[in-house]
Amino acid sequence: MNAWVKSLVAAAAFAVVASMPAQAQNYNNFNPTKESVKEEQLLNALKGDAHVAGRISIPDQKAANLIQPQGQQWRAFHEQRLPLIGGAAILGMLVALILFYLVRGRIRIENGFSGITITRFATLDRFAHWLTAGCFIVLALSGLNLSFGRMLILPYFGPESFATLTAWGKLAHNYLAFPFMLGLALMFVLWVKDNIPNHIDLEWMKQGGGLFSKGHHPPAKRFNAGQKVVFWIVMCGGIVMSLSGWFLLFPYLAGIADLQLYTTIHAVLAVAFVAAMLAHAYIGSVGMEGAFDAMGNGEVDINWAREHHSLWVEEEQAKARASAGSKAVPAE
Amino acid sequence: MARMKFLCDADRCIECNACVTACKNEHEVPWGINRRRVVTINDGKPGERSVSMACMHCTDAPCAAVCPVSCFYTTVDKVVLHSKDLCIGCGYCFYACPFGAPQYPKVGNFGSRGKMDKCTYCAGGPEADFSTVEYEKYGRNRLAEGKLPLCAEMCSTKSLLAGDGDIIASIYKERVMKRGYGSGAWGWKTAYKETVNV
Amino acid sequence: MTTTNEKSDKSGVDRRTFFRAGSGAAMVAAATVVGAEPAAASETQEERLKARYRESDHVKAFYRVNRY
Repeated sequence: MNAWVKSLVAAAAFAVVASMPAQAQNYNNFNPTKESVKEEQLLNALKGDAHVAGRISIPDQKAANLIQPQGQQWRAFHEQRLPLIGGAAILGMLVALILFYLVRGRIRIENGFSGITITRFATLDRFAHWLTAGCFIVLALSGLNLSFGRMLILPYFGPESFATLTAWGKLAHNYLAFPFMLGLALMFVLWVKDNIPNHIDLEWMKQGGGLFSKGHHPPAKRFNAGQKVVFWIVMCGGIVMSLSGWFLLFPYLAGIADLQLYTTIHAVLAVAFVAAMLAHAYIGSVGMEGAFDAMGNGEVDINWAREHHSLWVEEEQAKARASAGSKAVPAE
Repeated sequence: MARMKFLCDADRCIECNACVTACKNEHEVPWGINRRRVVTINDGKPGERSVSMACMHCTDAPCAAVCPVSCFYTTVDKVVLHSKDLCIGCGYCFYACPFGAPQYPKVGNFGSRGKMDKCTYCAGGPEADFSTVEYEKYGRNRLAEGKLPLCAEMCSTKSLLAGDGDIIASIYKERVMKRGYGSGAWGWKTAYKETVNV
Repeated sequence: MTTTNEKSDKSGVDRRTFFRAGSGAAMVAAATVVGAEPAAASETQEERLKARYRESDHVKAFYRVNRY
């Protein structure tokens, strides 16, 4: 039995030895570079829409990307295009507003202040507005500082103070994002019913809102077409800013390619948003007499309201008469 | 002036991860942070290659270009270092880096980023050489000790090369000439805008 | 057990706690570091950039053995 096994092993061993020269021959002919991975081939094959990725033995599987050439595009965007887009949008808007002020001047109330006021925005309306606006100002300044501060204010502050300032700005940006989103939601609920576009807006648009002609005011309900545009800019812009920002707040939720996309969207939309809000702030304060009161104490002059929101004033007065009438009935 | 570079001879790398371990130990790098990593490409297929990758200390470094607080600086040795006192943990360098070098401890609000950590080419940081503060924040300063990065010195197959770019390029060239093949100097074109022509 | 004792005996922030500290705490720490230390530990701009690499015997040995 034992001898039989031994002879079997011997036979097997012989077979292996006999086959060895052939194997050795194989190794000599084997060319390790024939199918070697060359970095250049991989990068060429990428055409910019993938990464050179492999397998990795550490827990962080995202680290399996060996090279991501898109980083260079992101850098180019951030270094070259964003300052151009931001500069054009924000400085362009400032120049446009200054020109508008010089040409049109402050839009006055035609019939002057009457001294009689009508409630335009209740406390909750104004709270929603200023919650959002206050957050927006801090978010905008800290965001602009992150993108352009190094270029514009670092030279004056020095690296240490600037880094401290920017670190606080980043904290503020992170935390104020949440009340900003709350403000957006609140404004949506409060005002969406008055912001549905209709035929009156078409007429208002056709007449340019009376912005460019003195003494001419197209009729409007609670919000005119211009204000509706601002409302929808804030809503759509705010939602996209919030969504893209959400992923940047929780950077471990998304991959690097997504994060690059979100920062790009966030940055481009942000400068457009800031430019739009500059125009909104201008017309709500310096640009138009009597307009600030609407969000200031909520009470606007009846003459201002008649000029800018004629249909709304009629509605309000009709409502007041109706409630006065209905109240009067039981009293009789 | 010598220009410091890394070169991973992928045809020699056996993915033993000694470089990763050496780095972690030398600098006491905390959990979840890998200044160096080994990636295997075409795993289990013909032409499989492993590449050890860390910060390549790029010429015209993208991280330094996009940092909002300008916390990066390039030394005369062309080593790219950064100041953790200035870093605000925004993640911009990570978006721009072609090699995924910047690492962040997840300590910030909502599990977001803390101060960035990356390979220092074993050259410490902006604190005084060999000080405790420097070691705690950036790790050992081997370059000032007249040594090279430990990952390269440690490499069991002498795959990972570090030091004067011209010298390690010539070493790599010699190897390729001798054995007749080489998969190229990984990352060099991206990092240094030149490669080793053999 | 002994190792933990040694750790806690060490004065100052050790590397791992530095990393673990919350961002708020880290910022306060960073602020105090910025405020208090520059004169003591931080390098000047010139010192930061100066060359550290030398072709010491140690480095030469590295180049030599890598040619094998």
